[in-house]
Amino acid sequence: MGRRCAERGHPRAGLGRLSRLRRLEAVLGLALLLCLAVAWPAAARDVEGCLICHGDPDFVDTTPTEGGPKSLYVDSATFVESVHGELACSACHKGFVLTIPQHQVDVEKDFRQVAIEACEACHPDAFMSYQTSSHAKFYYQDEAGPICISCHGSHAIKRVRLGEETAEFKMEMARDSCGRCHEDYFDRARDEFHIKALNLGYERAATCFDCHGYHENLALHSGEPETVEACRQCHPGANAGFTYFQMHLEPHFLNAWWGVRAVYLFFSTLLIVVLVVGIAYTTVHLQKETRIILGVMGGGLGRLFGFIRALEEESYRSTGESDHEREPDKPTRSGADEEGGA
Amino acid sequence: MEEGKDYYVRFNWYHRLSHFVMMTTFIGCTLTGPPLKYSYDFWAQAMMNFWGGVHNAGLIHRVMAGFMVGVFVVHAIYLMYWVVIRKADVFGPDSIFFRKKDLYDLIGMIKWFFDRGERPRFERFTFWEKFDWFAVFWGIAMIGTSGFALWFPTVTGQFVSGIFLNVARIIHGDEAILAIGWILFVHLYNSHLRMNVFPLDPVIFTGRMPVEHLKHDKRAWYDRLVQEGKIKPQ
Repeated sequence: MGRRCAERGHPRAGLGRLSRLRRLEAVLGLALLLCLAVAWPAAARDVEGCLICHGDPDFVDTTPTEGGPKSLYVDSATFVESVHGELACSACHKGFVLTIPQHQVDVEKDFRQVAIEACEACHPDAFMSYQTSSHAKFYYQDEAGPICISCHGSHAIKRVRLGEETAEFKMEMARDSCGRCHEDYFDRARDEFHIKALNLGYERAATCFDCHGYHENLALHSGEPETVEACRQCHPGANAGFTYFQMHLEPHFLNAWWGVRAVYLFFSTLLIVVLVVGIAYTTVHLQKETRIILGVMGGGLGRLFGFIRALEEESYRSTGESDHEREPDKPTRSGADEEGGA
Repeated sequence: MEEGKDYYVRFNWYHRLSHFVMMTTFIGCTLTGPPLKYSYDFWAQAMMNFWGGVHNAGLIHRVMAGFMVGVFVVHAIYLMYWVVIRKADVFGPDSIFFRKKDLYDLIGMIKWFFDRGERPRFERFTFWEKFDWFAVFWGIAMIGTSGFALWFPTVTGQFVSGIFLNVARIIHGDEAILAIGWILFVHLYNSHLRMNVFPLDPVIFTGRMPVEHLKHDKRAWYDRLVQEGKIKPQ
């Protein structure tokens, strides 16, 4: 453009200023577009403007509570990546009105009940399964019991297709969701092949919820029909006897049937005794051979040292009898031979 | 083989093939099994990735195990053939079964280690060779049985309680570690690294042993072979 203007014979100074302005405009425009492109996903969904305040990492609830101020920050980048990233905040945070600061309309309702109802609105089947679980029983008896968000989290729920979970995801859920409360059970299951294989990336290997159910959270006792059903998902031929396999045995099998402990004790002892005896025998054999080898080498070393000593003696002799320096070879050689022979 | 040297064929093609298949399948199982047992150790993931994941490693492990058990079965038939049909002397000098002389040889060997006597005059199989043979027998019986139980868990469940799968896991892992430790620390030294054969005894691969070596290593057998006119005295 600028070049064409110059050809037409416009004054050069004016042309330069104009094109510089145009360039600035173009750069600014591009920068704006870039900013929009980056900020768009977060900005577009935050139609209610919640993230204006909640997007600030330092945003805290200053109401005096135990354990210091509570963070009200929501990481918008993580939220956008989550499965609910398309939804508006009020899709789940029901019953809030747009005032500053925010207040819950129905103050009678517990936050946890609101949270459950929010999930139920879109996931009624999961909610029905949860209702029959021991988790729900615990929650309705005592509000400390786990609700949806206790396991699933809230703003960072991953986009996962049911039945196509990666091994990494299954492992993470077992460790961070189930294992957070059932730490002992998770630690024991870690010693079993299922979780060991899962840990190495075998996504078909069962983790906690593959047997205990996603929302039903069955207790699963050996010999019971639901346990057989749980096993049959992967082992079609499983029968009641099969379910006596124990998935959560303590280290050293302390909580196992005495037969398991006896076998463990016997084979561990055998392992140690046989290896110790074998390695001891080998070591003793090695010391004999080492002495033989050193003996052979000792001869060689003896010859070498003998030669050095002979040289030394020769040097003494030559310094003592400096007149007879003409034939130094002969005595040295004979000296070396003598030492070597000895 | 060197020209102008007398050799004696100690192992026939069957012995050599058995050892070769046993060795390769053992290495195969050793490289695919332990990463699962030690899943949380730093090297496990790299080893699994080398095989292309847990599924492939499991497949290789099972194929190897199949061949190894095959060697075991064929060997059992071979032994039956010698004992039942050929009426071999089970406790004779040519036998691989333990006999009283092995105990004396062991004591003699320990005396020799501490300069309290001459090196024993060994027969066709030394006691450590016999023990390695016996250990393989015991090991395959233990690891093989427990391995099959774990391979087909629901079939196992048809016959015994599921708790025996826990038992099988203990036996399989412990015996495997024992076998690996034994091969690494005892078998490799006694059969390949000791002074007489260092750095490798090729007899199990070539089948042929220089008569000169035979004379030094297994004197009783050498004397017997000379007496029987099977080899020329050196």
